[in-house]
Amino acid sequence: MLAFVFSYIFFLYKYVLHLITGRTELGDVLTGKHTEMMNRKVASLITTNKEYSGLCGKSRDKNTNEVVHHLSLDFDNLRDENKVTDVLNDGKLTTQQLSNLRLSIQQLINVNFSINTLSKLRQETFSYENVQHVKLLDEQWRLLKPDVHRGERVTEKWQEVGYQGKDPTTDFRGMGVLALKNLVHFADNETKTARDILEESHDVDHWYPFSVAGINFTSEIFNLLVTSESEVLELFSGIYTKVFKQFHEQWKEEGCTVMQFNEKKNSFFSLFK
Amino acid sequence: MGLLTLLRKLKRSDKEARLLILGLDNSGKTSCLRKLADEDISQTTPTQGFNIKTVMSSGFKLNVWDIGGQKAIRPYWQNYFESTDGLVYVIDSSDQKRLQETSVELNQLLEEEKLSGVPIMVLANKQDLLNALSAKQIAEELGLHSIRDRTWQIQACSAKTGEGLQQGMEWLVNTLG
Repeated sequence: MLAFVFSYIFFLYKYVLHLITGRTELGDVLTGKHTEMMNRKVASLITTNKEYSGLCGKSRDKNTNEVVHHLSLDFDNLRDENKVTDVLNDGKLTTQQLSNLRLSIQQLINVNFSINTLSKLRQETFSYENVQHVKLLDEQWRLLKPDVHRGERVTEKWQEVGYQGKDPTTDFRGMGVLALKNLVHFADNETKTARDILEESHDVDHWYPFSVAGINFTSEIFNLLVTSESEVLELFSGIYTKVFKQFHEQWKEEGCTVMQFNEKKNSFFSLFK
Repeated sequence: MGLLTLLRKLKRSDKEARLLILGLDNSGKTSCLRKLADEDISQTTPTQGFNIKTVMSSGFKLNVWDIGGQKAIRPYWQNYFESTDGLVYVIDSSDQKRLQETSVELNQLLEEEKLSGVPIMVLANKQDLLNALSAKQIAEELGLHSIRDRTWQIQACSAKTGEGLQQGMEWLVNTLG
């Protein structure tokens, strides 16, 4: 583990030297213009480096982000970015350059860390032997159906909160505890809305299983985050376009004037936070 | 209709088939289908409604309809029976508690008029799990041997490893062809 961290640091070090001597992109990175470029460069180098791609057990160019987040399993010790940049700095970088480099590395680590955290939760299979898991499931029931006694663990009643059958745990499948945490979060933070939606999801003609729907949303959102490098711009632009259209709709509906732009923009985007 | 169009149409219908995948919730219908289409199955979620995929098998273009298996969705199954060429019925071989339930559903399907004579492939899925019953045991439990009005077959498989899936599809395609 430690050996890996050091070899990784050494690899970064070599990479930066290579950039200093031969490339112009580093200029952008170090002047802070494209901190994101550094992330990409490091990430793509990792995937095209035989040694590292072998380590990941992944094909080289298939999915950079995925490879990087696999690598991030070993990144926890790298959270101290000062250590990294100290090793990287060969006395050739100015303070400003160094701080930009630090920012880049920190961003890379943060992204890896976030995806990694979600990924771990997704892969955590629900178990009745895990007290925390059981607590979460009980919590969801309590929040959504405070007046109804659920009784046994395996019961038809689970369908009342929109699971498929008697045992909700088989429904979590590929999304694991992450899906359950999302369901509890919704019920906990917006209890009334969640209860209303649950109620409406039982409509005779327009019903759908509430919790199973939530599990599917977890899957869609998770896959938006963990996407390949080639798709990421496409995805971002797609969201951008939808946001643009949606914003305009709201603008028309409310009959806003240009002086309200910032106020409307802020309240619009606060919906996503 | 011109002769050429007619020929084309005949040719296409020769090589195309519509399959329906049914079974209880959590039996692995979507995973089987995804595996056949060479897709990742580690992130499968419960099916709300249905999925459609086209997969190739032995030169056949199979249009596969995978319908959700939860009890409340089963009444919708009948809306998809029309012009089905082959039925794939998936069973979780490790879930002995629900064998009775899946047997009841299967027998109801066999009695459906719109599905009469349609060949059926029963997939004894999840063979990778230690407590899975064998295909033979499942055939006995479900009384498959009493099926007389159509060709049928049971195939042990695992959507996880992919084992048995191709064989299952090939049998179905050969039966249709």
